[in-house]
Amino acid sequence: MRRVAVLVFVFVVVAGCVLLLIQRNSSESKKDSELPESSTPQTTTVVAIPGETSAPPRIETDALVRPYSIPEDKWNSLMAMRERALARNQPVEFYGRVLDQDAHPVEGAHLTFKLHRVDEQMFATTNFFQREMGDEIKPLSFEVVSDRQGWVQVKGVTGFALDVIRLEKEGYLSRYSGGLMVTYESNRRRNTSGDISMTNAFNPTKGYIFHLWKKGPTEPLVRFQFNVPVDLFGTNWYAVNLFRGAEINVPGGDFRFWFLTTNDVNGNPTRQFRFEGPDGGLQLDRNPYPYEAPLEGYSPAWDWLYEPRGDASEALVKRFFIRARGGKIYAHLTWNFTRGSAANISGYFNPNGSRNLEPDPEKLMADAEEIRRLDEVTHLK
Amino acid sequence: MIDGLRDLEDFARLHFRVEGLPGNLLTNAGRQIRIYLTNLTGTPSLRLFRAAEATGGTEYLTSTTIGNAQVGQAALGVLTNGTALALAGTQWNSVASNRFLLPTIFEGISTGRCVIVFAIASNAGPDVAISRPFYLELHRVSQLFEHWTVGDDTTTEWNQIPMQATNTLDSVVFGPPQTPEEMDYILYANDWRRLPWSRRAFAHTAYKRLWHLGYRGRFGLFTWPTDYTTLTFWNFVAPTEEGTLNRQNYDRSEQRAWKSAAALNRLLLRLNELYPTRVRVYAHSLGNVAMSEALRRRNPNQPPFVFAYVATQSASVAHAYDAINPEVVRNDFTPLMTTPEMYAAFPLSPNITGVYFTGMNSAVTTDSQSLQRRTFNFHNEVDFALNSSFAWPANQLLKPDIGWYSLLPTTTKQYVFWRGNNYRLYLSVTNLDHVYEIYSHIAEARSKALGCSEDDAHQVRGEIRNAVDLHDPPFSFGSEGYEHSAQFNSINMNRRLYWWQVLTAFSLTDGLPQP
Repeated sequence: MRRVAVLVFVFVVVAGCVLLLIQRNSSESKKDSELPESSTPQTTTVVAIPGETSAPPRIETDALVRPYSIPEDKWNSLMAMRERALARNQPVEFYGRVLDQDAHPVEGAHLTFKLHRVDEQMFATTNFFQREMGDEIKPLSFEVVSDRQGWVQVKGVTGFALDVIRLEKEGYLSRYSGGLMVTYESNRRRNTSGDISMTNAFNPTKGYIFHLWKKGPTEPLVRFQFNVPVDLFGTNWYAVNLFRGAEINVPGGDFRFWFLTTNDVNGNPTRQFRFEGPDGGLQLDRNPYPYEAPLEGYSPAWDWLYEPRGDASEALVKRFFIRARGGKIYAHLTWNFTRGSAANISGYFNPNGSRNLEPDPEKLMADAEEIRRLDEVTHLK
Repeated sequence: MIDGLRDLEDFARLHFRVEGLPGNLLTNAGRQIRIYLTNLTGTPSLRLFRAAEATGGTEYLTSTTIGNAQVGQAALGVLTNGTALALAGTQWNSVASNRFLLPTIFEGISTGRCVIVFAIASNAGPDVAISRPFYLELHRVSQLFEHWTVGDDTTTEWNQIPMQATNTLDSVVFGPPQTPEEMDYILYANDWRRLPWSRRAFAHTAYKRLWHLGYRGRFGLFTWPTDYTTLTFWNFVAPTEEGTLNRQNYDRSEQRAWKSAAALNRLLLRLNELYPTRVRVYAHSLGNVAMSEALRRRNPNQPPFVFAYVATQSASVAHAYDAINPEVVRNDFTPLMTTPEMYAAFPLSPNITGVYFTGMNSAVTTDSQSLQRRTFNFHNEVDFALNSSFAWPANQLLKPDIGWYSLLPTTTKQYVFWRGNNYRLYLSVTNLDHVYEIYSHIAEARSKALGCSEDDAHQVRGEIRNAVDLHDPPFSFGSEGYEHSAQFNSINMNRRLYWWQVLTAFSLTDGLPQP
């Protein structure tokens, strides 16, 4: 009886352990699939740099022996310079996360980085002082692949600035063309802009968010590009037919704009603009992937006072989603007013009433006869 | 062989084309092509290479792949007066029925004016068909632009700099413009630590790269007598007359740049008479001290005399253009700060202070589309020379220089400035020589240099109205030493978009093919 009781006890213990293991594994896999955006990177990317083993930076002067030809005071100055140069290499810490248009993590995205750093090898010998200033900077390029949850992480290296050069993945569209740079200064100061998206690059629970567009089914689109000459100091309306370009008949058109040049109270020149989508409306777009026109949010007109302060918010390039011809056409339109006494108007539209604006070079409509026919059948009587 | 990718910028295209002749005239083994060059003036000669690109396009200038293929090509031969260059008919590409093309690129060997024809001939016999003549004039690149100078050396001291720029002996002197394109003029000012030959070499590069993009206007080089030193780590601690950190060399040069502005201002006045409101100015690094000051000296009651100004990698102080927006990297409480703010708060009059370059904008035309003055800051946040701990910032940190003093008497509580113990310097718009000396040897900047002053949080405007981020794609200027001058130092394939951006800022791209 006692033996049976022991066997039962052993069975219960073993079964309990197995159940615990099964439960633990299932809870982990559930946890993976339901990770919120504030999850943390699962893998650490350590970049191999010859001669570089760990952070913080190594500043060793003992290994170098002063040559007899260099007086001691000069030698001390050189060592101080060497120390200051090497101190530019600070521990690098970067967290990023790659998401698609639906905020789903993207695994396997390739990010190319360029790390700006001081070459420790150059300072390893006593003849570094014969080198030209600036030679000590040796950028290092490397690639990191995002993990299951879209995380990328760079740690275990030193440098003074990290550029993200490229982002790409097969099956996704990337409009990322570089431009993100984070800095690591010797006083441990990092990017001082206060831009929260940049600050997140140092936060392992948030990370800098990169976006890719997962390719979906595409539809035939029409690409357009028109130059609309303007009178810069007039007060005229200018209208554009998405199929044919500038309209002489200004009350018509799928998109139109007007402006007036005047002065503000201080006598500085300003310009008042009005943009209209007469048969369906328009809305300003700031989406990096304008590949699906919104369903809602269109207004008949948008007014803008241009005050030439010269900052980026005042750029004379605006992007719009257009709902035209009573919703028979959706378009993405870029209005560029920067050159040549003209507005350059370009973009693409879906002539089939669909909001799908994902570009597919193989499905671009080029048949002039078909485009003309679509112009007629979508025209509002 | 061609020396390298960079050497390709010295080459232009020359296409030989045959239309309407039976193919056997070209491909028959018994026939050959002969190219003749006849001198008209001088003794011109050139070296021909078959183009690596079958269509004879410009990718030898824009693609490293095509460029490398081109560099590997052997020369077809040298074309010189009286000696025919014979080529086998098989050299020709058949491009359509009875149409043949021999695309070549060439470099000049010697200068002069000549006429070139080519003929089809039997191998041992006379020519049987001959082309129409093609006229060609070959010049040294230094003869394609003007060179103005106030010191074509490294030794002219600030008080020896003349009030008027003159042409160097090797400079061309332009007559009146002969074409509408020649009504446009770009004037380029050199940077610090550039020897006379190197000033010319940078101008050659700039001119060639602009020309290859399609610019056919005129070009001028304005040189001022920057000093020179090698920039090794040793020099920064060596017990030379330079003192530590080479700052005497730099600051002495800066004073010369300031002093050169008067002559540059006069030159711009003169050029504006010859090329009314079509003069564009481009200054590199410390050259922007001279250029910005030359523009500031324009009488504000007069109309603009410069069409557009590109300040690239500028070593001038950002606060001298904009008192508000630049990042303050040092302030009155910074240890060792011994001078007052003089760039953002210059005494424009007894009762008014403002940024030093107040009014500079008014010397430059306004773009009627953007309503902005055409002044551009081409900047790079990680520029080595402007933003590393050894270069420009260190120099600011170590001012005043040895032998110059900034004192704050407890009695007056007004800063006073001295050179040595006996010569007092006054910060006054009525005594610019003193201002230049104070700025060069005494005044510590609170901001970064203009050419590295912009980042995500700081947009510098004021007297400079537009910005181009050279660190961003497609320019991607980095942090290495050579990249402070990357537009000159690295190959055209990597930098042509920079030069296109310069032409864009100058509104000179209309009608040119997009690179």
